[in-house]
Amino acid sequence: MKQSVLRFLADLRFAISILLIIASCSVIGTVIEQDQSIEIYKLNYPLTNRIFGFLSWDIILKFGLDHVYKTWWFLGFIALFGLSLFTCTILQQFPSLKIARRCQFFRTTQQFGLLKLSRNLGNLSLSQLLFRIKKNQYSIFQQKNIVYCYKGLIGRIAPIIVHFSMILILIGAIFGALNGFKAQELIPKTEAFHVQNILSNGQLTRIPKVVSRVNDFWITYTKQATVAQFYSDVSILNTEGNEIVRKTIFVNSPIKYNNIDFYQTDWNVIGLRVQNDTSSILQYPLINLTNAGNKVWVTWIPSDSEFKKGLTILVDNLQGYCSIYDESGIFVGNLELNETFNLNMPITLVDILSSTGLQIKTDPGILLIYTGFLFLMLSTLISYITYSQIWIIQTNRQIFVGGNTTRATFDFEIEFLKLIK
Amino acid sequence: MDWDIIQNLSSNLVFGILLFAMTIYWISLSFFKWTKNLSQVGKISAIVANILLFFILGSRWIVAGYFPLSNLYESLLFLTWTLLTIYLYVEFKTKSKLVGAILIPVALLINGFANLTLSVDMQKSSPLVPALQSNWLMLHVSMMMLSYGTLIMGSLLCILFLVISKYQDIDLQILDESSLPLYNIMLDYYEAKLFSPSDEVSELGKLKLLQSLDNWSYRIIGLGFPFLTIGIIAGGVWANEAWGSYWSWDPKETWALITWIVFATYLHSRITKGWEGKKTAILGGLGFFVIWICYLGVNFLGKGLHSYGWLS
Repeated sequence: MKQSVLRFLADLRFAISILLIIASCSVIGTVIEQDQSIEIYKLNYPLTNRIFGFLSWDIILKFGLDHVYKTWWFLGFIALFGLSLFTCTILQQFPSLKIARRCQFFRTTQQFGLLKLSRNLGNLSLSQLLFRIKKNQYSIFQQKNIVYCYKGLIGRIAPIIVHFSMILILIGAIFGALNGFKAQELIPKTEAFHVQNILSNGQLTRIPKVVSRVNDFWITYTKQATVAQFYSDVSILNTEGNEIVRKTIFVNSPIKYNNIDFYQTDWNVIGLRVQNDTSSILQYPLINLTNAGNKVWVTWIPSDSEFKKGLTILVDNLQGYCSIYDESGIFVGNLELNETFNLNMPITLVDILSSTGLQIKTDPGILLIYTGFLFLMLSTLISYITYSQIWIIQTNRQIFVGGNTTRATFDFEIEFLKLIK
Repeated sequence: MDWDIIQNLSSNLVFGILLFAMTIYWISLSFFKWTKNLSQVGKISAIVANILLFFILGSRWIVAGYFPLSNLYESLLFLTWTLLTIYLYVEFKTKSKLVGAILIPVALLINGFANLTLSVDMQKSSPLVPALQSNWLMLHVSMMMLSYGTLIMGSLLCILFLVISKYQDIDLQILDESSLPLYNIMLDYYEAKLFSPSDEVSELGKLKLLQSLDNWSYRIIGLGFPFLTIGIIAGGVWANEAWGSYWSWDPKETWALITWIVFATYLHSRITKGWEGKKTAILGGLGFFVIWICYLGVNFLGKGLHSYGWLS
């Protein structure tokens, strides 16, 4: 019973079907937008006028199609696949490797009938033939008049390493999901922070109590006024508030401390500091009105005490200026830092307050995963190598020679025919 | 002269040359006489197109100062170049005109799409956005394109197999009992067809052709698969360095995984007994469409990390 269950799991057709099921389920997640709010699904998939006659938001929510890749059934298929991979490696690949490592001589000439490629030679001496085979980088084993040659055994072993690397990656992913966390913080520059806004964490995770400080945040621009790079100057602090590590991070260059990684991912503008005619500095909050992901912030500076009149101010970059619009919404000019603008009253732009968006995470599985990645890359490449075998029996007058290969049958035919020509 | 104009001109020239090469190949397939020289002409023009594409991409690299795979236009040109290179290699190995006849049209379509439908703005190289400023760009994107090229080639051979076999089940085992000469199989088929119109020989020749198509598609997909693996992994490592997650189920990632699964299935079904020929060819042919969804189709969704910044 146990045996037959394992055999079933290890069966190639079973593994293939699981893989194809995973592939088809993945398609769903690319068609239906993932991780949106219920309102969006209600809007796009109404109960009346169902898509394909059945798909509506209640079905989406019932089967978890709004987060396909985290549903129990999807993870179940992946687990089943991992199990199948493991049993296949143990039950099928290892035994076949054992057979391959054995030196298999053909002892009777009848055995050549089973090969796709075999010939009887009369015109070639055995030593000539072996010399040619040796030149083609075969390993040769000889017992009196019978010979066995092979090359590319590594092409037989590599697929097993492919499977092992994938198991390693799966284990690493599970380990990382159980013990890691991911958090996102928007921190105004010059402020200290610790990890608070946690997006996901595993059952066994302990959130580290690390305190950090964003010393500075700035953006560099290209000549075409597009963003060249985002920079955050980040310090890691100890419990006394003293600096331990300091690094200027940017996209593609995180700071790593004690297995905690800080990534530059987002930014925000939170306020303007403006000096008015009485020389007092006032701070105005900036808000982002568009939710289409456009980075445009707006604020309003009243110019009279009844808050009837004023200026609308727009900021869409961190190049050090803001754009001023009057009451009727007409653009009146750009105001640079430390510049004074005078329409009804003089205002001076003192500072644009920005915050940096950091992603913070630990992933203890990453070492396993990277190891798996490395071996997977190498072993899939090596798997391309074809495993070729040649058998020879010399009788009184004739030489029987035959061979086969695992992958490159076309190339092997040509090689074989050159050998015996 | 401006570099933009030179590149644009050579890109259009490539289109013309490919159109010419395609015509030549199709003519040489339809008429069997003096075809040797004719397909040589096609091959040489494909080489010229290949060199021109290399020149365009190289000059863009030098002028812009970064690896020229930053937008859709450049990636389309790179794909054309990869396809042409692979086809030239395969043709050199198999000596078959068929490969050119089916692959050059695809290259022509891609090149035409890049030159005729994309606006001038989208053809220009623009500064790299922060996320792309990484050395991983080179490894990830070039490996992905290389794998797309190789897999497109391999899956096209699968489709060709289905077309030539007229979707019938073919018993390739018959061949093993036959005694025809084995090498230069594809060419033999045509010569057999040309010189001896008797049915038996040409049927056997057809079988030979199908068998070699079968094996060639297997070998080419077998090569494209590790490239795809390396490309996906490079992307994963890059994503982990850039924003701390090696896999985020972004539509492009998911479709790359689906492509990977389809071809993994193809490669594994080869070692299942009795799955040679038609059944595996169907899987491989399916892969052809999946690659195109992965490469372009996903961008029509217009979301995710991998949008090339078009259609928006």
